[in-house]
Amino acid sequence: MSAVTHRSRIRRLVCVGLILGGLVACATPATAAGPRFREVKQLNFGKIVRPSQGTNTFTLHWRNGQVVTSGSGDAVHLGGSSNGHFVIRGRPNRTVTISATIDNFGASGLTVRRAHINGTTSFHTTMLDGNGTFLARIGGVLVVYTTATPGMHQTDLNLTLNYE
Amino acid sequence: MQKSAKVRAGIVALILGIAAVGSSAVYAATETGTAHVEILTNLTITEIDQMDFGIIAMPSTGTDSFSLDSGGTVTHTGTDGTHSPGTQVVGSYDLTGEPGRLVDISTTVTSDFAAGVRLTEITLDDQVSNAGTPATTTLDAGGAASALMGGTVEVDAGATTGAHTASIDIVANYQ
Repeated sequence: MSAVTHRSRIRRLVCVGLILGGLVACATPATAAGPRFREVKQLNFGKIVRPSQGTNTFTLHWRNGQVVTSGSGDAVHLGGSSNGHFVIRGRPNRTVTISATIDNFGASGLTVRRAHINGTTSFHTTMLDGNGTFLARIGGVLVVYTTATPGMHQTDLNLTLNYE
Repeated sequence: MQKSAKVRAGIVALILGIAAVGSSAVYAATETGTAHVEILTNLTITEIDQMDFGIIAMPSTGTDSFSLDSGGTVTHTGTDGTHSPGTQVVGSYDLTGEPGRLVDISTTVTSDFAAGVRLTEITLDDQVSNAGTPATTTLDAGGAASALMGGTVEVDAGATTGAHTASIDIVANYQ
């Protein structure tokens, strides 16, 4: 085998290696360098006495975790509420958009209208700080009907973050 | 272009391609947390028997008090006023709600009996309920409870005679 042919094979191998590496890099962008979440406080609408007539809406404030009751019913909120907290870690100073949804509780007479994240909408665009962190605070709106099933209920709160 | 130059060009193009892919990729992440709520059955309170102090003869001077307890006993304090035994009725109320829960019951007199006849104290299961601190009861395993209402009426000398009715607001809340 000549020296020229040997060098050519090495170059081909290098090319193949780079191509494979590129394919791997293309296939795994989100998990390799993606942001991470950590739930540090669970969202809780608290204790609610369902209405005997009419319908009530309970708005959990994203910032202070307090609940405001509205609507035509006579339901009573007995406290015990808290907003949800998630710490997000990612690339410093990057602009991100975070969206939040709360699944329905799977019990009759309860309807989750929407989630709120750092405001009164279900998405929030912000910049991660110099350490690459951001505290997402979650509230939401829950409608309670006279048919609400008594008991303790829980459901999923879903956050999605995107940045480029 | 020579072969080695082609390879170099290919490598550069590949590196640029990878860099371009890396810089334009949208990074995303999702996380699932938990949301909670606790729903309690609404409380109901139903009047079964209306409280009645019965027949009272006013005192000739001063003010007398007549207290009705949950057992139906009337206790008289004061001067020469009298109560006719057996004419009194203990009030009773049924509650329904969430089994095992403690319930506060508070009362307010919204309209009193008459001039010289005052409902000064309302008790539920012999706990004063109209003085700022509610009476309490516990719903049983079936979510039911009952409360017996008594109280104290003050009668002045010269009080308005006749049958009088007072109105009472009763409010029950979970603790």
